[in-house]
Amino acid sequence: MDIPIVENVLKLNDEVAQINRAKIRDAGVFCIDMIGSPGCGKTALLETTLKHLAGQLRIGVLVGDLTTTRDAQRIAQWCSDVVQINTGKGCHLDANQVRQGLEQIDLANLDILVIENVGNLICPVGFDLGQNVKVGVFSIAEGDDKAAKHPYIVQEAELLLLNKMDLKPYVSFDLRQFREDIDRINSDVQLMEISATEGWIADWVQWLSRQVVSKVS
Amino acid sequence: MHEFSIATALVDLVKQHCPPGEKVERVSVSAGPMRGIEPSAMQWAWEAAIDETFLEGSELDLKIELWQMRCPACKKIFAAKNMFEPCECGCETTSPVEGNELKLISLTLADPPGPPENTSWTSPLSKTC
Repeated sequence: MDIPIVENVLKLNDEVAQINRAKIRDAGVFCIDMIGSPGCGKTALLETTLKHLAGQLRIGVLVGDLTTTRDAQRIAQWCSDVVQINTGKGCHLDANQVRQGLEQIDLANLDILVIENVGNLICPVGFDLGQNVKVGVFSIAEGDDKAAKHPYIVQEAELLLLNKMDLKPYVSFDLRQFREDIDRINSDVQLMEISATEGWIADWVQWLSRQVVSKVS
Repeated sequence: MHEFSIATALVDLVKQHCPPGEKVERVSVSAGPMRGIEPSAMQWAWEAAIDETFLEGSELDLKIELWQMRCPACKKIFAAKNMFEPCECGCETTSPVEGNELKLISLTLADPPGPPENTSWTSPLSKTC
């Protein structure tokens, strides 16, 4: 006997994500799920961003990694509201891990919460955590085909960052092709070229400030 | 390996829908190609996730849907094996539509056990009548 169901497989995760979303919204915080491959510069970007916005915006970070607290230690130099979530064998964060992480962070102290997901361009995309937006991070060192090879993050992201632009003279990267692929997958997504290590993050910082302002107003 | 997380989420979801005491034979799932689910990894993850659960021995029927591509020239939407497949009108700048679904479609339950095979059995009491 067949029982027809037709229901989202990740329904139980999504229900917890909605609880997280309500908690974050009630605290008046803007929340970003930051997704990118290992080594694309997510943590470096957060370090530079925290340094740049110190005293202007209050930013907290939940950072997911399979193991070690190295990222949290790096971020803790610039921010007191940082929680490391070790996923063990999990290649992405899920809503329940974020729910537990939120218990260790005082949202009332924050304007922005960044969830730095486990380095991975595929698995984290499908798991709602309760964020306002997903931000995808690529770097030019990874090659210009990465958007076309990982269309799900391009489709789901509100903003894409192309990091390590300072390496442009040294790597072969067809920016036109990269942009064209993105445009075909998601013509609404914005793409910003940045360099976290060189501090070329003006557009990103402005974008962050705008999100906070539009949340308040 | 998000397949394992998906498999464990599926076990929890099936638990909600399976009538108590019933044996599930097959779990049918449909996944959009955006999800990047690898069928062989998903089968392996399913076997691992159902081990020593009420679903042990059940089969996962996973259907990866085709891409749906939209042609900007002739506006046609067509099914394709690969993303960015050109349109038959010759246009090469097609775009994917949706493709991120991940749904539990149905459960197939085992048939209930039938009557005992030896139907010629008669009660010894009947001989006394």
